[in-house]
Amino acid sequence: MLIEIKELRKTFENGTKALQGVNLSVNEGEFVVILGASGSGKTTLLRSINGLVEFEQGEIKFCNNIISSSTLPTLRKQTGMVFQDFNLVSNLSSLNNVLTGLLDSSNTIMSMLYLFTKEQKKQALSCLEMVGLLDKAYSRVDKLSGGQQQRVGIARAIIKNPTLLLADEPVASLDPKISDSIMNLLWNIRSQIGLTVICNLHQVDLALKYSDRIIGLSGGRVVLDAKTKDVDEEYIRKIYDGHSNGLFFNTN
Amino acid sequence: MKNLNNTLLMAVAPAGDSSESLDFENLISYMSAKIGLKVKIKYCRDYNAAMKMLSSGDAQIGWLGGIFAIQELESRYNPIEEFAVGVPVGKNVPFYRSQFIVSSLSKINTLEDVRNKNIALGDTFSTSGYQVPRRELSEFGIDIENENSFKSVTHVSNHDQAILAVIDGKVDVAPVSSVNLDLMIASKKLNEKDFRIIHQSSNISGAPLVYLRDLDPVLKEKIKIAVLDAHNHITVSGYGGHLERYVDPIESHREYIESYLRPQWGWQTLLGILAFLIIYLLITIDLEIDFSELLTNSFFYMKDVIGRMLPPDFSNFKSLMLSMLETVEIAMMGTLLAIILSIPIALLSARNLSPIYPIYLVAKTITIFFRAIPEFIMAMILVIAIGFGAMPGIIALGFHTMGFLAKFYAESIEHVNEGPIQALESMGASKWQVIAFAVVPQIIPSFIGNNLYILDRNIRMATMLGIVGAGGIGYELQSAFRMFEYPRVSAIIIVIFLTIFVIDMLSSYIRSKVL
Repeated sequence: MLIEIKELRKTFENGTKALQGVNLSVNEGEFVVILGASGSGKTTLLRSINGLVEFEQGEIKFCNNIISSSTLPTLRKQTGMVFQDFNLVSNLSSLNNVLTGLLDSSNTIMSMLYLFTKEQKKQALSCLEMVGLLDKAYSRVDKLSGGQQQRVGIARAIIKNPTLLLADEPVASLDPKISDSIMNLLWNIRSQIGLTVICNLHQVDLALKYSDRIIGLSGGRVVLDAKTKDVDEEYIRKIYDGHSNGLFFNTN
Repeated sequence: MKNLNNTLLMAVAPAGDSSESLDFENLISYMSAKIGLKVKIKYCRDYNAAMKMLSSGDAQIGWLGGIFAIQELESRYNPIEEFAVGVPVGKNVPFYRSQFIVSSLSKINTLEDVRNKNIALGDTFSTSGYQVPRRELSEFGIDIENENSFKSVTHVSNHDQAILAVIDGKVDVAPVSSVNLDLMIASKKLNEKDFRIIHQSSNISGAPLVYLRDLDPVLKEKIKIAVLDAHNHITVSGYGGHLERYVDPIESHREYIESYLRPQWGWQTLLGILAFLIIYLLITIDLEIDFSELLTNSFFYMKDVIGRMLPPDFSNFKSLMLSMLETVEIAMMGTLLAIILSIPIALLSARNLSPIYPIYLVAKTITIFFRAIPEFIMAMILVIAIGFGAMPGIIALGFHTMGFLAKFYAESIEHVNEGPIQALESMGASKWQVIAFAVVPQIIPSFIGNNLYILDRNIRMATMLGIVGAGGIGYELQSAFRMFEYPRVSAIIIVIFLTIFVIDMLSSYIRSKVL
């Protein structure tokens, strides 16, 4: 068991109850998609795992260690994160953006001067090759298309060889075709380097295509937790309490 | 492992493009002699059959084709590893690219333009004729599997056919392998002027030779050395016919990655830094700045002056506070004057509101004129004209900062969202109604922000105006200096600092509440 979440609760200052007792676990090597409409609490859940959001009740275990302020740095060293809006530093090159993923293990003074070792740069170039962007290594990321920017984001997330990859709506800002290619890339990378992936999505078709297990979230509660091969559309409607807004079915 | 009678079996999958030759006989007989084992070649029906033979251990060596070998090797639990990959004739590296070519007369310039055109595509198993192009096209939102993405799809059985179809004008565009393109140019079958490359993929690794991971390590090493060395003894061939030689894929991949290494700081940046240093060195020389002087003699005098300024003399605290208050009042009056004057000027100097160009030009000239004259100079002239006191200070500040405010307002008016203006105009609102309802609400935040900034700035500036006789604490400062009363000077500096500090906090607070 890589991750175990018990009775997780979070209420925001404005009174929004984002999580109302979430229980779930993720096995090593699994590709889990958390499916839910906007406001279902899936972003809060994902961000609680690596401490970007503080939760008030419940516990999260990573490799059997309870996550606390003292274990968080170790956890963060082993997690990579992919964001909806890519969160790249727009006027740096792709290569430098990927290298930012290694800052936690770099010499502070050298990295202040943007200097990295040959090994680190080769590692970054290999990651860019893995996402198919080696030729764009020295292009500024704001000159790249959205899909390419997310590829750089993925390269940055995997460069430190994480155990866990958290992807928060990685394709929400992309069109359906490119979304599919990005999900396909995550899916392939998972099997290539043996990652555990937790990915938030609101596109049901992508979730069914790229996941081992689907966890449905609605109103801050887990309403579905099933192997993807056992999931049918009937099941998925349950997640949305009959109102299917926020759902996207790609029609080709 | 079924490795009977010291015989090895090589499973070969069919090539993606049927006409491209797969010729391993020569290489394998050389290798067989070198390792002292019989090696048989088994040509399989398809990729799956070849992979099945390898997985079961029936075959020990194999060639699986491009895209499949890569997919197989990338999966974590595969029974095979790559040991050699062929370098095309005339090349140094075992890489090639998928290139989209069009006729040189074509209007197609990017992959985006390929949509709804006539395209020639290879077999779906072809790496550079289908699989890689699929990925490249999907970046532009074009689905290769959907025939409606194109005007027509011509299926070709090899790259040469695709190239000729483009040259003959049968299709508009085709993705082809750079190896075939280069070979056709080298053999003069194709003129470089007849086509253009509109897009190329990143490097694709050639299809490698593989062997079983759990084969005897000594045997693996022998096989590898024999194949990598073969070009020194025989003419090597393989996928695509004759080859330059075979190389270690891992080694060549490392070299390939290293070919992308560049220094973090390019020579342009270093040259820029050097130029910057030289320019500032020259300026230092030209201005006869002597930093050592600053650190020795001047430093000594500085210490002396500061010593004389301490402790600050607050004996006339009350009159000090009164003149500080006067300074703040002058600044507030000046700012109000600036705001009142700048609103009409701003309306006339905003390009989207100004009625006619000459008026815009006049208004713009007025704002530039008053920005150009420092309030200090303006105050000096006004003191001569209307005498000492607060008035020259107020007018000087008012007119000078009017130039600034009018420019700021005009800019925010020029950047308002046109949408609401159009909406109001379309419903018959008059020009002034449009300004009141669509422009003013949009510029209110920047209006308040700019006014606060100007007030802040005017208080700082007003402390100086007293020096030329335009009222306020500057006058006190001036007379204290003249009388060599340095402790009073330091007291005034402290009062000015505290006032500005309070004003700054106050304006930050207002800003955070209002904006």
